[in-house]
Amino acid sequence: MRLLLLILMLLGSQVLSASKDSTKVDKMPKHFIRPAFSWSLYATGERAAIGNRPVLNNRLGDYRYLQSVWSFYTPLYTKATFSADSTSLNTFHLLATFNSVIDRPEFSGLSEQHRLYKTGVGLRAIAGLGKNLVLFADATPMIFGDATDRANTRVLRWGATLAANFLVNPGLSFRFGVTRSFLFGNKNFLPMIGMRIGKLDGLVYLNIQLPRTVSLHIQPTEKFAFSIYSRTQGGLYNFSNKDSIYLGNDDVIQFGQTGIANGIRFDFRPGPNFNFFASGGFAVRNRIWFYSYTYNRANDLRPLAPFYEAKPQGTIFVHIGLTWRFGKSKNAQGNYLMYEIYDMNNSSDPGDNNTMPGNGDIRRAAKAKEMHKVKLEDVGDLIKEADLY
Amino acid sequence: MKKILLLILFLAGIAAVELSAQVGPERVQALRVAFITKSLELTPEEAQVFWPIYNNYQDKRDSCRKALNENKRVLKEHKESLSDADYLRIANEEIKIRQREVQIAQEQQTALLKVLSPKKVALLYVAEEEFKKELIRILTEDNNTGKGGKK
Repeated sequence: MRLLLLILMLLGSQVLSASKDSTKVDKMPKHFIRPAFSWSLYATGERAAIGNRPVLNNRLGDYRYLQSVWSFYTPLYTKATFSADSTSLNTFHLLATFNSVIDRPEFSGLSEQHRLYKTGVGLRAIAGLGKNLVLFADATPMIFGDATDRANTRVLRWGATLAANFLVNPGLSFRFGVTRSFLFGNKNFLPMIGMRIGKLDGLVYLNIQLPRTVSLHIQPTEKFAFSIYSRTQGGLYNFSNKDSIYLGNDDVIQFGQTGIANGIRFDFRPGPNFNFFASGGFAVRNRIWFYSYTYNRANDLRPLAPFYEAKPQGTIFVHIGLTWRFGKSKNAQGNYLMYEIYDMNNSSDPGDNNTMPGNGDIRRAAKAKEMHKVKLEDVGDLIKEADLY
Repeated sequence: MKKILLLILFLAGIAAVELSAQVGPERVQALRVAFITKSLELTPEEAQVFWPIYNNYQDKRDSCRKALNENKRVLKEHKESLSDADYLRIANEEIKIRQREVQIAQEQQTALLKVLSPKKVALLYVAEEEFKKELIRILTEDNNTGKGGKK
């Protein structure tokens, strides 16, 4: 509630500032990337989690998964320089990122549900070099824990991504890299490989970014867009053992979950600052695991050998969210390498938090016939009296 | 239920504010890209190098325009209290900024000639003027038919 009031206050101040004297001098924007704040909520249906231990199946009961994510990024430093021959722009962007995730794996058999939290503050560096190349690096240390027993479950982990994106032409790009991920309910360095066909500001584009997502985007207007997607999601969490899910003396055990969300997403962008999305679909290939480090260590097993594994049935899911961008940015209209930078920045998800702010900062390409939508105050500054003769 | 209603109201409020928000500069930029790309018949390869250069100089021109606007604001708000020395300083600044605009145009042309043919660089000036005139024509038409004008 307090957060909601804060958002309303910030929004109000922005609306008021927009109505100031138009002749007053404004500072020129320093950055190409606008700060963005986003929130989303993900929830699956409830179903039986039938695993490899009947005793635990009975203890745990039905399973569903809820997740809420708050995330924020802001540029800290931007440097833009032209190459020696003045024909290509090199840009460097340093950003701070923040994310806070609450995961709630809900088991109907447990008297109190666990709130697994993950809070991370990170740094992200993106360099756009020449006409085709974008280099991307992100490192985010995160505190994981179980809110039902913070003292015993807190642990520091980190997520990271190192990637390169090669823009062949505005309608084709390739991406390669490596990411430290918890996507498969484990700690892994995973290779990233991807390609996009179609312009980011065009009517249709196909984006294949493995191992995370495959999506087909359709943007009929600048206000509405939708996409059909298949997205891998998962995580590894510290889980309090106060329910004695593991019958040892452990205070904390590990919980891993993974699955694929196949769905359709609708985006609504009423203006330059906000976009909303609502998506739904079917979550399949779901798996959950419980691990005990102490048991595995004592028995010379690999650290993440599960003592319980279940495959909950496929189920429907809903995912809703909003993104708020504020402030002004340098002009990047028509600059496709900058669009690649926006796309990498918006789709990077260190720690696999299901953060999906969307590419609201890439404006759908205009058509000449849309000039009819322009109002006089939009172009006042462009007109000199000589133009009228 | 109450929370959901509150959330819906909040989102509806944001959407209403956003729909009425001024999107002029952003929209005009997008239209300019469409118009100039079409007028100059830029290939995707040419567009890829042209727009970062053009936007960079556009930002510099905007900076000059903002400085001119600031001087206009000072003249408007402090007309009675300014001294002759202040007026002279502002008048000289006006000339300096206009000279700076010419210098920016010269630098832009030098940079563009490295990536576009002289014909396309020359036609850019025509396209920029045509873009403005097209906007004026549409606005005048809309005004006459009662569709456009001030909100």
